[in-house]
Amino acid sequence: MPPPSKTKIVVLIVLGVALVSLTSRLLAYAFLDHRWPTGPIEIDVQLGSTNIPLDDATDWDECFIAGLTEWNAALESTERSFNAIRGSTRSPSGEDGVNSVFFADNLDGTPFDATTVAMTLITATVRDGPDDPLDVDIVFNTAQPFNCYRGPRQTSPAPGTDPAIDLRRVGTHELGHALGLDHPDKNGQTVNAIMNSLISDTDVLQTDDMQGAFARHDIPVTGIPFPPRDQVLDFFVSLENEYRHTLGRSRNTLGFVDSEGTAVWFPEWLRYVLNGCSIEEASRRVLLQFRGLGIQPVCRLVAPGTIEFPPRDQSLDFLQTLDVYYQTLLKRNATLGYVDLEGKAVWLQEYLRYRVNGCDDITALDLVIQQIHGGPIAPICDSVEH
Amino acid sequence: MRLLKRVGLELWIVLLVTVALAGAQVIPMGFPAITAAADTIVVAEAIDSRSEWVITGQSRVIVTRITFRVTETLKGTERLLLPLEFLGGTVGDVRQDVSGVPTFDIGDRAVLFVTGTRAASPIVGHSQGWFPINVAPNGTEYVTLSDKRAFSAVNQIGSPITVSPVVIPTMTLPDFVTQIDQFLNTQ
Repeated sequence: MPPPSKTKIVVLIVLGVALVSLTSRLLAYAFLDHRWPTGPIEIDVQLGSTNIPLDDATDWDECFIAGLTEWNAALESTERSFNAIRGSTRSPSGEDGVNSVFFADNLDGTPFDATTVAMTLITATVRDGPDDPLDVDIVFNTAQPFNCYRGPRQTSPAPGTDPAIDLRRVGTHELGHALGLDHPDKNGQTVNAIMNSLISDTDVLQTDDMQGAFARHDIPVTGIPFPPRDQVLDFFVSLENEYRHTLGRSRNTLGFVDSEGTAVWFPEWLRYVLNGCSIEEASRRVLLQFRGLGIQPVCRLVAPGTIEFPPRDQSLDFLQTLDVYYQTLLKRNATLGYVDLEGKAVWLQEYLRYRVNGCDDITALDLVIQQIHGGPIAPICDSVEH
Repeated sequence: MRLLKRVGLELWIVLLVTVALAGAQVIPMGFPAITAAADTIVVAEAIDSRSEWVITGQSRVIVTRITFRVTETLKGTERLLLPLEFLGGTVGDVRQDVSGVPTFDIGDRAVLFVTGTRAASPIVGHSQGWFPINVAPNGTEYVTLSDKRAFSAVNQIGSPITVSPVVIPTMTLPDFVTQIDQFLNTQ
């Protein structure tokens, strides 16, 4: 396949500046290393009763199970669900093959510190792909002032006293870890999610949480605000293979940026652009990250329906700049690849455009491959959210 | 890997962070609280890491013992080596993830706020007292929050800026050390 024709480039540029419907959430969820097989995930709930009046439950078990039920409703299409078992008198321990939820002032003998609300201990068998979980224990810190309530996080009732912590939202968060989800905010993301690391006013599952659970269990996810980096990298590898095997391209494109570099930095640049940064400002912030100065804030949170993809030529400019960074700052050696910079700029951006417009990973790849073969520019997918 | 980190290649940090950080929900801590809770504050580099099973009461867990070479002590007893024990790790084909407990690769450098109280993570606030050091290509050393976000003032610790029309000037290691010293001197 030759480089995109001028006609096609013009069309792509027009598409590039077309408004797309996005929310301000421009990256999606994050994973731990394990994945459950299909079937019920049995879990001993041993939180028990309480002598303080709870606002939204009769006892701790009921409060926790409300969050568990929330997950089960969301997990329907994954063929996984939590099965809460109440009334067990078994003593939970870390490596007994039984999933457990209980109160303690320590995790298998190691005391909690004052900032810990709850912890999840995941024991798994290491595999080449996702690890196989053996058991998961969720332990709530007895020292924390728990209650069970809905709505915003409560404030301190009086100076010097600690505000009540909603056990349900904490439990819902820890169950997300049990399902294989990590903290999006600890992975450079700015999203509304119960899986964020710090307790907040968010008290129920958010779209990002549910999409993460689907993706963790290989359910195609649509309506995703921005695909995870591993999927972008997979796409890029597919693109290389397409150029090599189907188009018969030679490996004669000289460049300094490897596949991982392209898969990380181009979406990162787009993340800044789509969150209100100018082209120049986005490049500047990526360069700061690139130099080890940390992840910069986004320029502004953009309302749905107001975000524009940049024109293709500006994406190409960024990739050229990135190539120079790799050569001059990192002193990288030149390597040969199958996809030229123009191809990267066009097709990577097309893939991302399809993804943020409701296409799942496989569909977006198929549509781009069709375009590479001279097929029409497909309509975007329906923006269906689970 | 070490060479890549030496040139401050955030790329690898971004790629590895998913496996490096699992997290419990924690109560956010500000700089004064983190500093006050720390028995030891050091600039250090991870030079050794070993995981093993240990018996804890009726069960057993995996712990990972990481030895840090201390290059500067800001609070606590001065020492050359600082061994720390973290819950979780991989032994053979069994892995234990303990939410909120950070992991380190050999060669990782950081400013560490360490608690003397036994806990799943000896870092104050699980990972909140962990400030990774990145080295820019020009040799300047920068520190970030544990989630690799930039911060420009210590009052952003515990409440990071996530939206800003202007770039945040990332804290350099010398500036951070100075601010820690100044804070400690006022206590």
